[in-house]
Amino acid sequence: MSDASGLHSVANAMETVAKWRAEQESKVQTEIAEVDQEIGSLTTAISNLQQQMEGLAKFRGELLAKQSSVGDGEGAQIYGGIFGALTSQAATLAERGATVLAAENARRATIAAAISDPETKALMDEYEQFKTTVEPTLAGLPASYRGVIEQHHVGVTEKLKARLADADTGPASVEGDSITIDVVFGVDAPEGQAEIIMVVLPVADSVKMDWSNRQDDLQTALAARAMQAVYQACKSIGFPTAQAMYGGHQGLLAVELELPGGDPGPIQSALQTALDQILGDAPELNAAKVQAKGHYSLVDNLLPPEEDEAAAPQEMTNA
Amino acid sequence: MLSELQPKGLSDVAKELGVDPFEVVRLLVAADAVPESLNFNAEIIAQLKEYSGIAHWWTDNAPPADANPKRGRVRGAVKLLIDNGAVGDSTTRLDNLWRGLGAEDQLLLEQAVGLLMQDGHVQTFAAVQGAQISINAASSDTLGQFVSGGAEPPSLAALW
Repeated sequence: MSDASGLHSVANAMETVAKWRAEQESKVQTEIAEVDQEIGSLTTAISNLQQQMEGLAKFRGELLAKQSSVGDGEGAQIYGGIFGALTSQAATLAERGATVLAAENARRATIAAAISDPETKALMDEYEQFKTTVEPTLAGLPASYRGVIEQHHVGVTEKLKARLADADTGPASVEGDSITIDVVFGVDAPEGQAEIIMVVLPVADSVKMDWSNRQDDLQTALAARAMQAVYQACKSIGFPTAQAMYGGHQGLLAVELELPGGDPGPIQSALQTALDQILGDAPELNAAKVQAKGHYSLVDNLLPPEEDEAAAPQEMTNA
Repeated sequence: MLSELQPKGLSDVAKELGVDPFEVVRLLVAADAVPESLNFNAEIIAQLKEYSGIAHWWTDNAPPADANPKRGRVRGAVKLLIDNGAVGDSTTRLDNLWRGLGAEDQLLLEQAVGLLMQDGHVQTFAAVQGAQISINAASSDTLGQFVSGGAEPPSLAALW
């Protein structure tokens, strides 16, 4: 402010200063309020983050507890996986067996046709005549006559066998993709000393339990070759008198052999080698396009979980 | 007729021998006689018979007359052991005792063998040819008298 002459008074100057100061104080107050508001916001955010941290820490603890119990169900998962796979393989093997049977019947028809030439037919007629007419009367003939007739019959028989052998081209082959089959085995060594070999085959237990009422088929062949391998392995490691016990487990054929005092490592190695070699070389399996091999598993994985009593294996028998 | 001239399958061999197919496989391995294919000619079957000592004793033998049929069957079985020389170090396959018999007679003879073992009259052991049995030499007179209709080993009374 100034008077009419334009001169500034001191009072006016002081007033101006006071006004400036008031403005500055107001500005600072405004900034302090803004900072306080920001601090409040950050404090709230930190509190929220702290709560999130606590929640995550709790969740982590729960996950750690879960991690430590993940293995608790692994045995049951493995057991279920093994028997699920073997059951599926058994069904596939049975289907392939039906195909093989059809091919085998066709092969037999081919053999019959191959020996239908007049010369072979005459030999067959002579063979049948001997069996039905001559043989029943042989006992009443003098020894010298009997010897000549029998010798002649042996000659006829040998000729027929030779012709049949020539016409036989071996196991019937089938069309289709190869199927992969596992023969699962384990070696139980409770205290470092093997006591039991366990083998589970992807074949129906009736292959053993009802063998006399079944026709030999692809399942029979696989089981026979697997047992050949098992006995070969036992023989190779000094257990030539080992005798298998058989039982059903989930409808599949299970086998146990006791090898008291055996060394688990060599037993496992001998079984693996024998199974892979014998199953791999079996002509009837190769003709059926079945690729079978041994698969080692811990014995515990071949036994049902303790709470699953319904899945317990049947009592083993060697009958 | 044609099948007579062709090699036999595993189960046919098992039926002919009087064992199950997997015992045939075990014997083939033990005798180093596994053929390339699972078809068996007469020579292999004869080889297995000789190697294993498998016999069908009851085909041509009947149990002796006895007021108690069970005792008669056991007497007959012991007689077959004696007649076939299964005494002392000379042994025979254990299942020769009941091959060809029904399940009831088989169970009876299995139980009888168990009791005779407990009394020390017979001994059994594992062998590559299959489980073996023989009469202990010291018991041959006792069991011979039982076969002839004399006193039976007391433990056998539990069977009848």
